[in-house]
Amino acid sequence: MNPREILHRYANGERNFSKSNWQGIDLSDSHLSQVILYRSALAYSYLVRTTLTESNLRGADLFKADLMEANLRGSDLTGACFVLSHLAGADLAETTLMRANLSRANLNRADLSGADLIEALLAEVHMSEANLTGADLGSANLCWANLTRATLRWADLRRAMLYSARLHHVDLRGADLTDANLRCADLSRAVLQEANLQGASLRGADLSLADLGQANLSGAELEDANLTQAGFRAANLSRADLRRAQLNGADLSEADLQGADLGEADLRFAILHDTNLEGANLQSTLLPSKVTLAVPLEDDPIWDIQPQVLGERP
Amino acid sequence: MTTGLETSWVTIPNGEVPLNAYLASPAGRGPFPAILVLQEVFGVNAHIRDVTEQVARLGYAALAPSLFQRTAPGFEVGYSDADLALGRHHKDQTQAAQLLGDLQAALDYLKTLPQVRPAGFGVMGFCFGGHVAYLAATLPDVIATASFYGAGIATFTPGGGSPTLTRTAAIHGRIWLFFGTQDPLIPPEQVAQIEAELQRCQTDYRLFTYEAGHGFLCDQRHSYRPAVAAEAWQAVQHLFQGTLGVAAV
Repeated sequence: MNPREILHRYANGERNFSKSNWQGIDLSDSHLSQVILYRSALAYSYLVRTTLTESNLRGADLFKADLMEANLRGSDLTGACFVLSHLAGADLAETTLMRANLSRANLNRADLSGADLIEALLAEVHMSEANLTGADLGSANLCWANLTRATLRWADLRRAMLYSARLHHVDLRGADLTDANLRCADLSRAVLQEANLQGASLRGADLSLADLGQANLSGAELEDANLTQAGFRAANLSRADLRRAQLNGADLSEADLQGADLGEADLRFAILHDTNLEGANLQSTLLPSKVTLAVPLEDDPIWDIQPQVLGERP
Repeated sequence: MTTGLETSWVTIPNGEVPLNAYLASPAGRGPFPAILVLQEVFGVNAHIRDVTEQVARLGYAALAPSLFQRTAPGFEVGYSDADLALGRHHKDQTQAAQLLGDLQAALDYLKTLPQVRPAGFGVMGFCFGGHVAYLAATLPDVIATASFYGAGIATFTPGGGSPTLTRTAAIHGRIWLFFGTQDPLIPPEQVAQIEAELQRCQTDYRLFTYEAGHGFLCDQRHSYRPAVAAEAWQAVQHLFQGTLGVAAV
């Protein structure tokens, strides 16, 4: 079927093109909304600026397809393959992309707000400046993904795999990252205010200059993480594992570190105003020169000590 | 016919030397991304056919061409010392240019099949096939390669000439290599040489080393290591899923 024939049949009201073989076809700038391309072959196709709104592309193969600035808003793309496809600037808002494979695809500046990406494969995806506001990425695989400056406000990332993902400067305000794997991820300068990171693994992650104000990091793994100058104002870090973490210059004022493990952590120049360290492990911890603790560790509520290894105090 | 799969022996047009090959595809119209499965020195035997079917079960069309077609059509043997000697005898008669020509013929054949996505192919090879997979990675049609314990990549090329390693710059896709640290055929310094060249050429690669010997993925060999094999198989799935992809509803 050639593009002219397809457009003619579409103009005559035909919508069901299931299991079609349209590999390599050029339908750029065409209008094909509400079309059914269930399990169709569209690898290497050109769909630049094509309108495919409210369409059914479940199980379709769009390997290396060019969908730059295409409009797929509201479409069902469950299980579709978009490996190495070009979707920069595409409108994928409110789409269903459950279990879709978007590995290594280019989704820079794409709109995925409200999209359902549960269990989607997004390894090594390029999503710089993409809009994922309110998207559901539960159990999605985003390992090595590049999400620099993307917006993920109120996104659901529970149990998502974000190992080594680049999340520099992302907006994750209010996002749910419960039990997510963020090991070795770059979250420098990320905004995570009021985010839920309960039980998340951030071992070896870079959160320098990130804003985690009022975030819930209860029970989170932050071992060896770089938290230099990060903001944890009023954050919940109770029972968090912060062993060997770099908290140099971090703002922990009003934060709850009850039962946290800060063994060998570096808190020099950290702000500990009204910080709750009750039951925290401070063995071999490097503390700032002036510490004000909400719940004092010893009788004297204010220590005036030089930076030193606490475990070595007499 | 295996449940859920379509399997058959096929003949691939290839000038004066048509190639025998074992083809396994998922049932259905596809089109499925396709992967070449390259044999050990033991031919397209039961183990290689089994791997081919395992690949097909993951959603790919998998084709295992005979690499000894010129000297031993239909060659397949077991894993005795005599079998190994015979396999090596045929391996020693192969030539890189002929192997590459045969592999291109196999890829061109795949492009003609209606159930196959006609571009962007994967290759996986074991033992001698692991070495040949490194060669195959230089073909423009190949975008993802898994090379398992390919011996001699750093020291020779089939038929003679500069070692296969000198072709690294021509690898344009992604290549993942799997070696055993106790492999007597591939000493660590050769693995280091391979890695250095991949880095020098800025190849998109990953190198996996396991505490295992040669042939750790082959359940027919004494060197089989189930846990290592499972881990490596997982990695292979990641490679192909992330590079070729499979649509699934």
